[in-house]
Amino acid sequence: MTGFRVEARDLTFGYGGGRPLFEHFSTGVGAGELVALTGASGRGKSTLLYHLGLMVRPHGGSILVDGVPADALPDDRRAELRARLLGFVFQDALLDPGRTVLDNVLETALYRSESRRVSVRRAHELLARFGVEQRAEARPGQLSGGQAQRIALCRALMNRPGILLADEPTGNLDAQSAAVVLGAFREAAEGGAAVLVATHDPWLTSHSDRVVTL
Amino acid sequence: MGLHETGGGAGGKGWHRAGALAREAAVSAITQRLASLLTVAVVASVCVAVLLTAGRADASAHEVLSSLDDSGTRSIIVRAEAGSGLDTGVLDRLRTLGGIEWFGAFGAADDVTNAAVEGGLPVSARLLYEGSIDGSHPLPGGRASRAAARQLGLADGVGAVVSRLSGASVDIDGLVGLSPDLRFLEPLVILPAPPREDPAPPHENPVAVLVVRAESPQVVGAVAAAVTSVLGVNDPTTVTVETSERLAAVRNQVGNQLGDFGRTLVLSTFAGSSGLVAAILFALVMMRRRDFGRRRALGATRSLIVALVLGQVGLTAGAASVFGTGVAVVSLALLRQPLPTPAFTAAVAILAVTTSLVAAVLPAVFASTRDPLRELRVP
Repeated sequence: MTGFRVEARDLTFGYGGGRPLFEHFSTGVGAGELVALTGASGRGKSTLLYHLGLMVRPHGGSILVDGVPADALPDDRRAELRARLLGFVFQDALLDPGRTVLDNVLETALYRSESRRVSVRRAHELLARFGVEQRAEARPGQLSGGQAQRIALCRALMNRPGILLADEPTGNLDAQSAAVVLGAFREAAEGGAAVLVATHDPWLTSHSDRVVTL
Repeated sequence: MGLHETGGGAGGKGWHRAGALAREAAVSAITQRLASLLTVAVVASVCVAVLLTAGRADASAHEVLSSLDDSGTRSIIVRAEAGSGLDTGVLDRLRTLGGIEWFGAFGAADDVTNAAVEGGLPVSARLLYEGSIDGSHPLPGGRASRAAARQLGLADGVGAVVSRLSGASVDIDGLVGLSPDLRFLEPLVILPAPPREDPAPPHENPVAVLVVRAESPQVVGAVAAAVTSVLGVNDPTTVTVETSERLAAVRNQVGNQLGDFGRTLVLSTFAGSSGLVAAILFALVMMRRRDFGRRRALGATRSLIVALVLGQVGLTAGAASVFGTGVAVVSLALLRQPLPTPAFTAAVAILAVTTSLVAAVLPAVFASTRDPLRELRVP
């Protein structure tokens, strides 16, 4: 999947009755770009990712996907876009502890109405690519932090996303695991995906195409 | 692929999607053991409680109503004096009436004694003109009720009797079982009517007792009126018509009261159980807020979340209702208590699943509205 640009235009959003986190804020990521999103804690890096991931509607402004105001789409349509177009890597992997690694990777296939048989093949390919295939039947509780994040990455890449969003993906990883994750982001960007990574990691920032600071 | 080309997934994939949903719901039910076990415990307990109380009451009610029916709640008995003019011509007219399950016409009583025992006890014998008695009509010979055979001293109801009036001898070929509404004729020897190939004119076959059984207690009054209108007697004062209309009314009242009691018990039990199931599911959803938030973030639609929760509850409650009804039926059988009808048992199982699903709707909707930003964002 290639050729998508996602951007926040004139974004306004705030929590509760306090000062808005964003006021007429605009930024974007183009197809084939790997962008690092940095800034002090509490400046809204995760909130911006959730907006660009179509999980929340802004109080003002809009989220454009290829120029189309996607935030205005009905809820089911935005859910469908998340399932088919977006990949999301959460800060703490967020795997289902009751399921096997393979089932966790396959989770989004259900949301895309994809055949499990077809999806299993791709899931095994991704697990092998990230060196965790032998853990396919393990439970998340049996994994290290690095392995869990690689599984989360496999899940995010299952739909060959046009837009890949990651929230502190290397925060708890050793250097080797962080390199694997960065390699995956770079490969996705070279494949045409728009990749935005919220991070405090200077090493990851230094390997990005561009840095957006909040 | 453009933004507007990402649709699809419905249509031909409907069955595949339903299968995947069912699998996901089953896996969720298995992996969330505590919630599933609690749901199973509540639903199964409700099935057991309902069947051991209302189910047993329903079975007892059926027995009570059945014994009332045995007392003849559906019968209409016409007794005619000699010379009343009631004859076998009434039988053809009865065949034209609706609401009648069975009828039988008997001739006047004639005392008979055992031909082999001089001075034996007499027993009433009557010609049976129409109506099958326990499937043995037309009778090649006579038949004796068990009480009559005992009184006559006929072993196994086989032998011969002699009419006191005419002195004619008739072979008795065996026993005949009388239905509850014919027991007022006991002890009775039934004599074969003339062969139908050569029937006598109706006026030569006077009827002394006519028994009509209505199809249901509710139509006894109407059938009695219709029967009275087709008797064709010369003088209405020479016949008496006894109906079980009052008994039928009592039967209906008893049936309604027992039914009301059962319904109230069942409804209140299920109302309580649905509240418990809803509470369990709300607790489950609260514990799994991050799970539902993650699913929403990864692309699950609200309707899919609702379907998942309902599917999980449906599977769990279905298994619980099968288990619960099984336990209840086995318990009743072991305790030698009356068993509820299969329809009642099936209704309880279906109602258990239905109320669980209804109770799950609000928690499911609550789960589907979990906001990923609120549930997943690490402050």
